[in-house]
Amino acid sequence: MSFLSLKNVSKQYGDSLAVQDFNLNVEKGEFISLLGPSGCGKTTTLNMIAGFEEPTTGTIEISGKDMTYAAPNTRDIGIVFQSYALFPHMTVAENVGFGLEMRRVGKEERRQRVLETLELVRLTQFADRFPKALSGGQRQRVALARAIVIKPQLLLLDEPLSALDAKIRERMQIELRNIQHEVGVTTILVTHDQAEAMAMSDRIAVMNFGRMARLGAPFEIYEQPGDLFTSNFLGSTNMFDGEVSEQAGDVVMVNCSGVELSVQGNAAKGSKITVGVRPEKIALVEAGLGLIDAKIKTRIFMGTRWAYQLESSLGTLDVTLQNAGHEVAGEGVIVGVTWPRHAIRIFAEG
Amino acid sequence: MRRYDKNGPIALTFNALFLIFILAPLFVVCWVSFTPEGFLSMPTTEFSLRWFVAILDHPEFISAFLFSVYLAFGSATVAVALAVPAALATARYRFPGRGMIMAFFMSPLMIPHVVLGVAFLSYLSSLGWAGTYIGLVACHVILIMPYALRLVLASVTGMDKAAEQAARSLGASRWTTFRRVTIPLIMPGVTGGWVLAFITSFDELTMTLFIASPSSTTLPVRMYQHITENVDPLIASVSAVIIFITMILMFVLDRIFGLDKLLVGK
Repeated sequence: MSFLSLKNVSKQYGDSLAVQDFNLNVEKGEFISLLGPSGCGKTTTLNMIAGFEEPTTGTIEISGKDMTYAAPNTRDIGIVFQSYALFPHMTVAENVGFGLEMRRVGKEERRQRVLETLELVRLTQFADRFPKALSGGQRQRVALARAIVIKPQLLLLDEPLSALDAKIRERMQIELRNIQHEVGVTTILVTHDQAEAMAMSDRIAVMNFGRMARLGAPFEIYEQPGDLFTSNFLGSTNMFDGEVSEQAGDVVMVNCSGVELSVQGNAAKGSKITVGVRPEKIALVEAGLGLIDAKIKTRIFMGTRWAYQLESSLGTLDVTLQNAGHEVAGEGVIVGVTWPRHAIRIFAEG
Repeated sequence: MRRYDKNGPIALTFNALFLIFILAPLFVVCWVSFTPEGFLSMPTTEFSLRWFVAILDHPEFISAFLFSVYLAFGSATVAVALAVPAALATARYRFPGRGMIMAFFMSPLMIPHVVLGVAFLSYLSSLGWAGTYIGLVACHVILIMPYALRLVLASVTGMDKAAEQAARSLGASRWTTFRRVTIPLIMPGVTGGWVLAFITSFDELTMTLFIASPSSTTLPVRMYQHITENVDPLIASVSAVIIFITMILMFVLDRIFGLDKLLVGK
């Protein structure tokens, strides 16, 4: 029996379906991300779990109880909003203590728990400040403290880090993950940032057009995305359209613009398919030694890696190479391109 | 580097002229109020407080002033009390007739006060409310509603709705959320709307002229009646006193809230 379960949940606005037949089971203590582009229905799903919106059909159960139509203040859920949504007229301590006050926790215990939670997010010395006087990262931590101080059975994070700049964001990801582990609260994160989702979650639910596209552990769905959308959303993919020219066991030969590629998987001979390989799986070798030859069009140095764009008979290829500390082939050079056979995948037939 | 935060000589001249244009009449009124003569004149050699003392011989001005404050206070309070739910409903929800309701609340801005005065007079008479406090408040509320609503609406529109959702998720009921979060967050607009409504009600003459009775005469009506009968500097000294009170009030409000913020509703 799952801790949180969404069963056939749909949400309709007028003629458009924001969420369609959505099913999700979350275990206690798990960290799950709803990942997708804007308008994919992830925020609507979160709002339905929080009780700010009611599903058109379907049910939402939290620890075995039907909560589909329960009021938000009866759900015992902590939420961190994208805009932080701190109460500007209350101090940090009053903000954090608000939920306890609503639960009629006594003054002394309230003070104690607010202090403990502020300690957890390292903001003890800011207790008497107003939110206005805090930086973005600090406000974020106040919002988190306010959400977890009530020891909610469920923590919802709505794009919590998107308003922060890149460096603080990465630090906050780690911090958030650590705090979640420490508190052990079941958490659902809504984000459009695939790196954030992969860095923080136990499992990721990729959403597209109101539907679940893929559900699984980050590594699993990155390596076996299943469909083109998921593959492209989680990271860039070089895609080639081709036709299956031969099939032998679990290996097929695919003819892509005149190049024969050997791919693991199953597809009927003569069928048209798309195959894809990720930029970091491609290796550059000497011209003539790879699967095909390609000309380096652009080379960009990114610090930890090199980003290449190559011209080949397969079309434009994106390639990234780890920066190993020595110079690599430059623009205009003809190189060979190769990849391990298992790195290239078959996507939707078409 | 060129600095853009300074006005050039032409802009400065323009600004100065503009300020003079606005303030000169007020200045002249105050100056005239110090005349020792029995008629409206600009004193040059002699200054006197006799027309300020004269106010004390006209208790009807003082009672009219107090009634105006009483009326403006009641009207502004009722107007704001109605403006808050109206602003919340129209800013938050899409429902049929939403545009019509907004237009309805704003419509007094477009109707000449004379027309409103005549209409209200016959309406109040048929209700038996002519010249009563309640009748006057009702009419003033309608008239000042647009001002109150505008500023409250600006506050509600600019408010982060997530703050209310946060309060709800933390266990607050709808009512507690409204009391503890919504109201404090829209307070600037509520205060600003109230002040603007108060000033508008206090200042209103044309419509009130029709519906006021001898027992419910506002200060503008009293002053108007006075100058239709005799033109003496009393009217200048009364005006000077009002200008003085207003200045103190504005100073206090600016200290507490900041006038610029107050009148924008943010």
